[in-house]
Amino acid sequence: MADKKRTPSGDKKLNHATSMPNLHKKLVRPVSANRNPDTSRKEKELPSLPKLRVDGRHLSAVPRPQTFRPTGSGQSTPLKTSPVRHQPKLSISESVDSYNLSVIDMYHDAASIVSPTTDVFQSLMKLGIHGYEDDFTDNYSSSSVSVADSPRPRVHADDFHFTDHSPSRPHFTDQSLTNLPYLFPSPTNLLFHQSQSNHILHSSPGRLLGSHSTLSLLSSRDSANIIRNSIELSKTSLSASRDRYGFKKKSQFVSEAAYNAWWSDYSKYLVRRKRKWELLMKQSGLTYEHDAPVRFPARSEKVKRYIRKGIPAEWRGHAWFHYARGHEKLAQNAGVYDAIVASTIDLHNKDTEIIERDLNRTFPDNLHFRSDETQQQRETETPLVQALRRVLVAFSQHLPTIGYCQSLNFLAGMLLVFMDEERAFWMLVIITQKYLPGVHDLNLEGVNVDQGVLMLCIKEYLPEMWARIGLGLDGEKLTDGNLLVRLPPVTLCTASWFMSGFIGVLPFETVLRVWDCIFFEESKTLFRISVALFDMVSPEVTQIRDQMEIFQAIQNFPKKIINPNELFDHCFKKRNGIGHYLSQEEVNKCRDFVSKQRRSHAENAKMYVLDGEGERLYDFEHRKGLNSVAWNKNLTLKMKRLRKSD
Amino acid sequence: MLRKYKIVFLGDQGVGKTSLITRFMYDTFEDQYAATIGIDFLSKTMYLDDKTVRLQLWDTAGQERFRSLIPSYIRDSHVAVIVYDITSQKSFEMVEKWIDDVKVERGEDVIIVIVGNKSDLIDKRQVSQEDGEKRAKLMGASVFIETSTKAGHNVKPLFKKIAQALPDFESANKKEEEAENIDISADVPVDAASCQC
Repeated sequence: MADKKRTPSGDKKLNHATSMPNLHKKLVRPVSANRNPDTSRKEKELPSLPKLRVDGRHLSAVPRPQTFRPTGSGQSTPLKTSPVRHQPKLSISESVDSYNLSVIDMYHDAASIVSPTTDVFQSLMKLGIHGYEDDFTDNYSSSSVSVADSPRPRVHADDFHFTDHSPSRPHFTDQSLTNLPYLFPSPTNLLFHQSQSNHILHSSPGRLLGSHSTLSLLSSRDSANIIRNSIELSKTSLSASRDRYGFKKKSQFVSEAAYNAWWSDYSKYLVRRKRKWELLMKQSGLTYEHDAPVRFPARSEKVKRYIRKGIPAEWRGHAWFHYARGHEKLAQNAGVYDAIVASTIDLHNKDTEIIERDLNRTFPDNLHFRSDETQQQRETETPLVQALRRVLVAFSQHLPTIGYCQSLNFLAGMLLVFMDEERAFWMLVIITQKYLPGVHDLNLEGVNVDQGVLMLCIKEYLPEMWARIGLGLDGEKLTDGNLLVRLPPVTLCTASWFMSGFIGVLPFETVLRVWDCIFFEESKTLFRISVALFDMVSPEVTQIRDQMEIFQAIQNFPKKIINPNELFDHCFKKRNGIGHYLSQEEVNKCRDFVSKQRRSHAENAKMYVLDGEGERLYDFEHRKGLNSVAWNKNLTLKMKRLRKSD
Repeated sequence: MLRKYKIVFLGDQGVGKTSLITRFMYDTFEDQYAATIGIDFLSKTMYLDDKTVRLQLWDTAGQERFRSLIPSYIRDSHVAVIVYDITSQKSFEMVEKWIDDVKVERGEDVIIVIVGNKSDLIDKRQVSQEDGEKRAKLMGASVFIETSTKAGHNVKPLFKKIAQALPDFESANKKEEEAENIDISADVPVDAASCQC
């Protein structure tokens, strides 16, 4: 089995300590004694995933403590990371400050919080909308933080979405706290609440709420989340044609039967992996209370292996955020997102116009982006689409060098499935700056550079494939001198792999596994996966003569890889797995090289021409002996040792 | 011997390029298609009178910044289909720009087809058929047609016209002969038997 394998890694630079070890320790809670992780976890019960704790659903929305502050206070003084005292009960009339201070513990004591979602959930329970009343209400009625693992029936996409909600809860202002009927619907006003919000949507279909204040914006954001959650709950129609995220299982390349056949195996794999993760968390002294950990193990070879085998789906949003250092970004920019959203609410420009046109073209086959019930529902914007608008518009303002680029809608949409919109926003910023630099810029030069790097990798590692694709449009061989400028035709296909992070290229579950890796191992993952894909498709391609048919084969092949393990086993296989060759340093160096080459060509309208036959276009590390990178690695290790001995 | 022809679809974002191709390929329609990123490639064999041709269709992303990626595909195409949305004057204005792009790459050596899509949305129409025809003539387009991918209207005739306009490569002569101008009026009887859709 895949999870038995131990894949050695060529990557030696992953042992950085986490960014905030102290904070980390202080937030650690002892594993409760009554927890008994394995007793009731029988796979036979569960053809599907994750055990979600209802109470965990709040917890999952807890950002790092530094970011908690009342929006209205003006100051965004980061909260000290000292352990905060437990204040189990918080009455609504209490001051913002006490809310502020007790906020961490509040979230750890689910029963003591007046939570909008709790109420919605309970309301829906009472309305009999959901099928698991006992399970959920038990968790709710218990005032202790019980993490006992009772067996649960299937968990669905709709449940899953609860891990991600209520982005603005930390931003409740004192006014908003008193605005109870709106934020905290009771069973009776839930329907009113929905209709009211629907009214808002209908009355201003394009933008939310016109010229309302930040406060009402936040309320609307919150209500959008409440609606979103309730829609998802009531939509627990368990439609067999949808996967757990609300996507249609069937695609042009995968039949529903094939999906179900694969899922019945893969879901068991996921259950096994989840257990391993739980164990890992314990060993790392971390809790996963309420099935919603916000802290994750420090980087290590073991963690890397675990991540390559997949992060539990319901932990994903937080894990991505954690490893991509989203917390730091958020802490440095407390309140910024809300401010941008407030200032862009009436914005109309070229970007917003294009965004508007793309909103409905983002995951149209996903229930949460586009309802398929009735015509009216189809025409009503879903809350996720509204959140998507805010994130994209805010992003276009925040990073004007990018503005809006098609494909960002998919990246943001994907993030919104797993985290609240503020985090999704900052993750989008991180992705476009760190993992896909320049890729979405106005001239798309970043994506051209990355295609150049990818082509060099294929030339280097898959020479037979290169012989097939390293041709110009007329079938002429590309020379070393011009291949980086006149990229081979196949790069237009692979450009979308990078721009949308494989969304729409690989099946969704497979994309998720790739993203797990990206946020832990950085952008080399994109190249490793791409080269692995080329390697996998090469038997098919060698049968084909026509250039266009080759293009088509490469374009369509990834869409059939429904089983992520197939791809990952190939990428990280022990013998010649590309995953062991291409280091991040190599990718960075290669990116620099390609970028310079293309720039110098643009400036001089001529390419740097190589003189000797023996000279290579770009020297990959594995061809060299001890090079500067290796030397630097040694030096780094030495420095680390020195520091330790201090 | 199966002739292969490359056809590139250009036009603003959301005008219905993917929808048009999907209707032609599979005779299906959905309200919304996911935005195309980069380029999508599809091919289909078409039987037309005495000819059998294989059409290789390039579906492109509409956003302006993607234009920098597309030139080489235009350079390689026999036909450029420029699509606009009849409910969007702006998308119609952009037709000229797209045609300029094509001409920069191919000169006059390309068949230009202009398509006004979404003709079922009568209430929202912003571009009249006459304006479309006039512009098409002015731009030297070989074919102009209005289609509705939703209603399935005129899609087959469009591809039939494209196929008819294709240069015949029978002669060993490398120089492609000038494509015949065919009747530009959109009022063409639908001939369902023209291709195997």
